[in-house]
Amino acid sequence: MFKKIALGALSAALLASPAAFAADAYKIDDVHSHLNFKILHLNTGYQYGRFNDFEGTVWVDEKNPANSKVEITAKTESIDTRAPKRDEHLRSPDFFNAKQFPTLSFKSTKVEAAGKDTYKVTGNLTLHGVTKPLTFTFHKTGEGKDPWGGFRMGGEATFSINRFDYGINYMPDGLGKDVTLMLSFEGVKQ
Amino acid sequence: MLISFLIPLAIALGAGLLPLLPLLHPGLRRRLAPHAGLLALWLGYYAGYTRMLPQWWQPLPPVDSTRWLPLLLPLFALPALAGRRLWLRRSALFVLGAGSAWLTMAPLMAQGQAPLLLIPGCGLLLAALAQNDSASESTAAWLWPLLIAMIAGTSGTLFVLGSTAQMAHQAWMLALLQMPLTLMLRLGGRSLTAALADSSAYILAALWLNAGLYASPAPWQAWLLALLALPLIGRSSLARRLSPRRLALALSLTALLATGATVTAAWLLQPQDVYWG
Repeated sequence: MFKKIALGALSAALLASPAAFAADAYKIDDVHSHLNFKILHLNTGYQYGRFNDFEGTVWVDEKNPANSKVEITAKTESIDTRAPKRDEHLRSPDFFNAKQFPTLSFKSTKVEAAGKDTYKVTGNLTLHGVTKPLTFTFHKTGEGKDPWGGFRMGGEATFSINRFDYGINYMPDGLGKDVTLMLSFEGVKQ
Repeated sequence: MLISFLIPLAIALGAGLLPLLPLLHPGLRRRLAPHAGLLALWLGYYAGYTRMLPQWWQPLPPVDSTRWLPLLLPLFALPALAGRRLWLRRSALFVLGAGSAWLTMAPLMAQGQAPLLLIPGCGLLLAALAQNDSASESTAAWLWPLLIAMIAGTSGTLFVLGSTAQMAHQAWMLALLQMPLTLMLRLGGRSLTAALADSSAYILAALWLNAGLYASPAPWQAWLLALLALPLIGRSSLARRLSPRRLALALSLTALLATGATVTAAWLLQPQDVYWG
């Protein structure tokens, strides 16, 4: 009885492993990647900012996109809106509460093909201690060898979230609810 | 931006004045005055807080530990049930204060960054602030809202300098709510109720804890706030030792010094660096 269970488990592992190895892992090159955002201020103009410190890996299997995966983590302390006092305000309990929530992260749960070099990515965004499902479209912008002997792939994605959903609900009159995040990255094949 | 900042303060004050309306009827004053103050504080604070932070109760329990304050506030009316047994009231406040500090600091403790002495420290502060104000002369009763208004107002200014407008909002709401409390004392409340005093003290202490742990206050601000807390702790002996005239003079001087110190510090820190949104 136990022999049958062991053989079954071994077979399942052997069958699963080729699919896992088929996805190529691309580590995000933070020097050539950008995680920006914008939000409407006083119903007047968009304010832009970025996270200077983030990392992640993108696993890509173009033959079977379901094996692809995205994991990105950004440090909330690294927020940068070109105004140090505003950055300090954004890090405070009024918004990101960076001392309690030092990171924001996204982990995909499903990737589907949605056209040429386009993928529909579904996953969970964890921000301000709250995890919510999120779906966005990812566009592959290119790939090729780099001058340093590596192989890299690039992509970008734009999506919006409602900051209230994540408990970042201070100043409902002064700042818009919707925050648009824009990710553009180059990943180096591992 | 200024209007959107002022709206929660106006709502807090408006809501805080509502429980005082029945006191306009002389027949209801004696019966309702002891409870009107606490109701004014709660109604005003929650109304202003909800306008400032819509849906603050989601999720429950709060993920952001600075949001334990409105959830725990009603608990701080319970130690007053100890009545004249000050030791029991102080013990209950110590436990509640330490417990609320623990909840606030839990995320930092998980990161290995929490100054654990703040847990009993918060409890000790709240216990020390509890006194039998009704046993002192009536000067002690009106001394409380005056001191709280001064300390809360100064705290709000310091919180803005520490880049947390949310804490400043709450501190200024507390300062404004001393107006209906003073009116309550005028209209018929002879003494400050213990529940009211303990609740106000908790709001102040929790704001200092939240700002100190999660915002960016400068160390000198913490020392200034500690100095401001001293007359609050010593208010009963102040009321016993000083005549009303001398007490009024002492308070006015203290308020002037505190305000002057804050304005001077703000000037030295280059006010154009203060971010107003």
